[in-house]
Amino acid sequence: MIDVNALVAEDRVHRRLYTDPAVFEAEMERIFERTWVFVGHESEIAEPGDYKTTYIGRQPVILSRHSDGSIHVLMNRCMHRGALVCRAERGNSSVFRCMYHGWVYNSRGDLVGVPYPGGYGPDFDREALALPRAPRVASYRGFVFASLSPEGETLEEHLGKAKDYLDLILDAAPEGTVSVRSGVERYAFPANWKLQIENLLDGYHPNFTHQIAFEIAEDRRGTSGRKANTEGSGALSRSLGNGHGALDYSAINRGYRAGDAAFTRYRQSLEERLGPERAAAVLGADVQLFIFPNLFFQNARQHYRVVRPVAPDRTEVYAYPYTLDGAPEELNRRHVQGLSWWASPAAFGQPDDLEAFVRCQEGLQVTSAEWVLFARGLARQRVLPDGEVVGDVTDEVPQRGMYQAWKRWMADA
Amino acid sequence: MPELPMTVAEASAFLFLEARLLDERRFEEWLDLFTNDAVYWVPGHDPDDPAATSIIYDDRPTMEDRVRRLRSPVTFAQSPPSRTLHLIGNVEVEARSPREVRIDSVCVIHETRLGQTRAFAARCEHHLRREGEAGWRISLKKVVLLDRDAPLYNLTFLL
Repeated sequence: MIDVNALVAEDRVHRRLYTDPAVFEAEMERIFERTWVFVGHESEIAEPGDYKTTYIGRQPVILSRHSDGSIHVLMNRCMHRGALVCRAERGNSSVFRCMYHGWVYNSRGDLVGVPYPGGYGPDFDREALALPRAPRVASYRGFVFASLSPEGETLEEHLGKAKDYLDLILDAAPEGTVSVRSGVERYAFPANWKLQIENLLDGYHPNFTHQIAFEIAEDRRGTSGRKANTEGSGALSRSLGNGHGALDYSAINRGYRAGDAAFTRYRQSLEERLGPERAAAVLGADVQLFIFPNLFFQNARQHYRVVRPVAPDRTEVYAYPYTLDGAPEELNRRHVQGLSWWASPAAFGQPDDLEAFVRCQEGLQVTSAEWVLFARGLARQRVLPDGEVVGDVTDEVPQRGMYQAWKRWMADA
Repeated sequence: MPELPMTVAEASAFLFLEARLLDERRFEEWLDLFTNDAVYWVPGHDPDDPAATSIIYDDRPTMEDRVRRLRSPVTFAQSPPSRTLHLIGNVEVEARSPREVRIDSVCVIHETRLGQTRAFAARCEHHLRREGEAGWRISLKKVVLLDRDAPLYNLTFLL
């Protein structure tokens, strides 16, 4: 039994959130297996028969495009004895054939082949033995989400205000859509998944954890994240409701977008599509957006990350660069190559965060100190009329919002 | 058969020296082995496509930054630092021109930090160019890790 009221207060969470296997189990059941979870981008399965395998919480699923173009999220589990029907990470096939006894499913999960069917008698019901589908699947601008719960709020209701920020990020594509075909940076770390989420929304740590990365960036490029992540910089932390949050540097745009010829052409194409005012807002946007429970966007480094909880003390992260459809090739390419500088397991930035997570995981074994504090900026945060909460970039506003949503999902059994 | 500009024995000795410099943390001397236009590349899932996501894709200035990082007391992922042992084998040499060779080798890297020892296996490709009195210098070091498609933890030491 987990008493969430004893684990989460407004300004703090209990150490058990990171260390207790029972909490992890409950997170999988109550959060990941009920809410909307991102499963992939439509461009990853552009052609009929294209598929990729992924996870919703602990459960293996296949994101697949059927011959009629429809998109399906299938549970990756043979209805006969339970083996994965698809082992490959991605590919193209009109069928999934289980390697164990040869049962065959098509790309929308129908059972279309059973060897020696006579052995099952006349009442054998193939229709009942289709691969289970995620009860709800929905897309927003090419981003496919699934929910393992047959009921609940719609994807758009779930996204809520995060949708405005996602629009701001995706409108940077001259054609209005992005493509996810440039591979993926992967890394893992031996600590709890929420340490990564907190960190992606944390404008307090960079000047300490990333001091050396900032020094190097300043010496090479004349700029770094140092000023932006200083208290009072003008950058903001935001809690957007439903657990979503953002660090918003737009007011002091850090100038990642270079002003060369390719950029000028790109800006013109945006102005044609969006008008000068919206184009200026889109180009000025510098946002790190978190979509509860495990999807994170950073438009300045043109990528998103999916955080995969594996065990209480084991997490995998997949960072996907995206390209802006209709943007100049050189602009897109620069971003794909630049990602390894920050987000690979050998990068100049993220590995120092991972060291912090691992130290937290070890430090949180101490039982005489029970609480992890998220009190920063509580007294000075502003609540907007629509419920959004805004604070200084160094304040723990988004983490507080994330844990209130965490608490609601966990309590609502 | 034309004579190779560099024998297998010479190529092996060169790679052994590089391994020693890495394992003895003589990083500045390691940098001196490279040309000014060198690339240090550790591919991700696709070892044939430099435009795809890589684990490392450094030009020479970025290699220097990487060494600077390894020397900094506030590079927390290397505090304490990794100790490494590079074991080199299966050395093959191919002439690319009278002044350029390609060395293929395999490398098993043992790394230990905080009491945990890990092993990484890789196929390596070194492109060497003879640069006047400086002798042979590396213009490309490519390290194709066996487990490049797995989510890996902390590769902030030099491979």
